[in-house]
Amino acid sequence: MKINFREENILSRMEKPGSAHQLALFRIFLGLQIFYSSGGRLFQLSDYVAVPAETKNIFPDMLNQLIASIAVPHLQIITQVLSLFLLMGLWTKYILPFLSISFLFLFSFYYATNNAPIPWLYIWFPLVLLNFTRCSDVLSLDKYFRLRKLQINALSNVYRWPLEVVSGWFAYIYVAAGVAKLLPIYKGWPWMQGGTSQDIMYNRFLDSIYFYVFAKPLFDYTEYAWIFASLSVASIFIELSCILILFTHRFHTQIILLVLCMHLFLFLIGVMGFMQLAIILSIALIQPGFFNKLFKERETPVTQAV
Amino acid sequence: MRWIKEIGFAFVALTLLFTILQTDQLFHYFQTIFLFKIFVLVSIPVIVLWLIMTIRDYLRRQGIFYYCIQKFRSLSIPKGAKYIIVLVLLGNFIAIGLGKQRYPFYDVGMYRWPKEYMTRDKTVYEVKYYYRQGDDFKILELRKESSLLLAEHFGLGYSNDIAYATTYFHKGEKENFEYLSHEMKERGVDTLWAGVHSFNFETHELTFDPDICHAINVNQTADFYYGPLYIPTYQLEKCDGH
Repeated sequence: MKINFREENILSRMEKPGSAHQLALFRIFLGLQIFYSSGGRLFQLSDYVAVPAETKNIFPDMLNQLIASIAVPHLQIITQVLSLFLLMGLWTKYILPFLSISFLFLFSFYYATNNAPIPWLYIWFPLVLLNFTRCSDVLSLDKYFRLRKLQINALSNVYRWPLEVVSGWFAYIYVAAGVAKLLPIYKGWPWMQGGTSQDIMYNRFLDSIYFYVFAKPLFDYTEYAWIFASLSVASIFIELSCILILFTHRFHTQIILLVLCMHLFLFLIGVMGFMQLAIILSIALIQPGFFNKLFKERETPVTQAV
Repeated sequence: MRWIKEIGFAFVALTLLFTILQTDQLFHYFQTIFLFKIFVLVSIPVIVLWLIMTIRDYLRRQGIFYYCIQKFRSLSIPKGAKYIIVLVLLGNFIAIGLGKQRYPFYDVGMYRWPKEYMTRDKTVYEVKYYYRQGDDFKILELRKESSLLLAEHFGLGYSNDIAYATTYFHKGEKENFEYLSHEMKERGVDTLWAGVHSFNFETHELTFDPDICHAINVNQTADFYYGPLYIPTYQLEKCDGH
C-alpha cells in the first residue's frame, strides 16, 4: 500500500467534492445532541449548588455575571429552541449565529460550575463552523420551502471542506488527550504505569455500568498492575494514532473502531458520556462516496443559494 | 523523506518546549535538581535551532510549514471560516503548550496527572444515599439513573453529566443533597439516608450496610474518591450520643 501524502492529506482533501447528505446528516445529529445536552437537568443543579469549579474562560467578568444570571432558564430555552431549528434545517443560516453564541454562553456557565469538558468540547467548534457552510441544502425545511435552489457544480468542495475540518477537530481532541498524558515528559512514564487506570476502575467500580449489569468486576482491580499498564498504553496509542487523520484517509475506519471500542470500555467502567459525541464527529470521517450511494446522490450534485 | 524528518524534529522540539512551559516552579527545579538543569540547558539550543530552521525554510519557500500555510491560503473556503480556523488553532495550540485551559480553548487534559499504582484494600467502600421501603431499603444509584435502560427514578434529562456531578463532583455539598432530596420527594420518597456500599474483590462479597451511624463514621474516616458525601443534619442528629 503506497500512500500519497501530498494528495491524501487533510488540506488536499478539503478541495475535493463531498456529499450534501453527509453534511446535512452531521447538522441533524449535531442539532439533536445540542437539544439533548442543553435540556439536561445539570443546569438546574448548577444553578442550585454553591461551590463553583475553578475554571477560567475567555469572557470578561461582567459578561460571566450576566451569563450566570440568564443561563437558567433563558439561555437554556433559547439554545434548545434554536437547536430544533438547526435539526429541522429551517432558516438555518439565520439561526446558526445566534445558536453558536447561546451555546457558547450556556456551556461557559456549565463549565464554570461543573468543570466538565463534555459535551461542549466536541460541539462548539463544529457548530461555529456550520455558520460558513451549506449544511441545509438537503434534508431540511429550507429545501422543502424552496429557500435553497439546486444547481450543478461538478468540482465544488462546498460539502467536503467543513467535514474535513471537523475530522481535524476529531484528531485534535484525541491527539491532545494523548499528548496531555505524556507531557511534561517526566510524568509520561509514571502515567503509563497504570495507576490512573486503576484509580478510575477501582474507585468507580460501584458506580459503573459493568457493575450494575454483572455485579462483579472484570478482574481483581487491586492486583494485576500489568493489565492497568497495558490499558494506559493502549489508550495513549489509540489517542495518538488519530494524528493519521491529518495525513491520510486510509485509516479512518480503523480509527473510528478503535476510538469507539475505547469509549465502550470506558463507558462500562464508569467513564460515561463520550461515546455518542465521538459517533457524531465520526460522521465526518466516513468517505462521502458512502453517502452518495446511500442517498443515490448523483456523482456531482451541488447546490447554490438563491 | 524530508517531511518525516521535519515533523520528527518539530515533535522533539515542541515536546521539550512544552515540558519547560508546563513545569510549575521552573526556576526552583532549575536551581535544585541537577538533571533538570541539564535538561533545560540542552533543550533551549534544540528549540532555538528548530525555530531558526523552520523560519529559514519558510523564507526559502520550502518545508512542511510553508506547504501547509500556502495550501491553506489557497483553499477555496469562506474567508471568515479561515480566520476562525486559524484563531481556534492558535488558541488550542497555546492551551496544549501551556497545559492549561481557558474555555472554550482546551488542552484535553481530563486525566493528565498520573496516579501512583498501589496495592489497594481488597474491599472498596462507597457511601451512598438510600431510602426505606417498608422494612427493606433501596440504594439510590445515581449513575445508573443516567442510563435509559437501567434508570428507576429520573429518566430523560438526567444525563451522564448530572449523574457525574451528583455522584462525584458536588457530592460533598449540602445543595447537592437538597436537590436530590427534592427530586426524590417528588417521586414519593420522603427521606434519604446515607449507608455504606462495599465490595470485596477477593471474595466477591457485595454488601450494603444501612446503619446510619456507621455511615457517618466511615464517611469521616475513610479516604473517598472526590471526598466525603454530604450527610444530612437529621442523620447526624439521630446518631448523636451513639
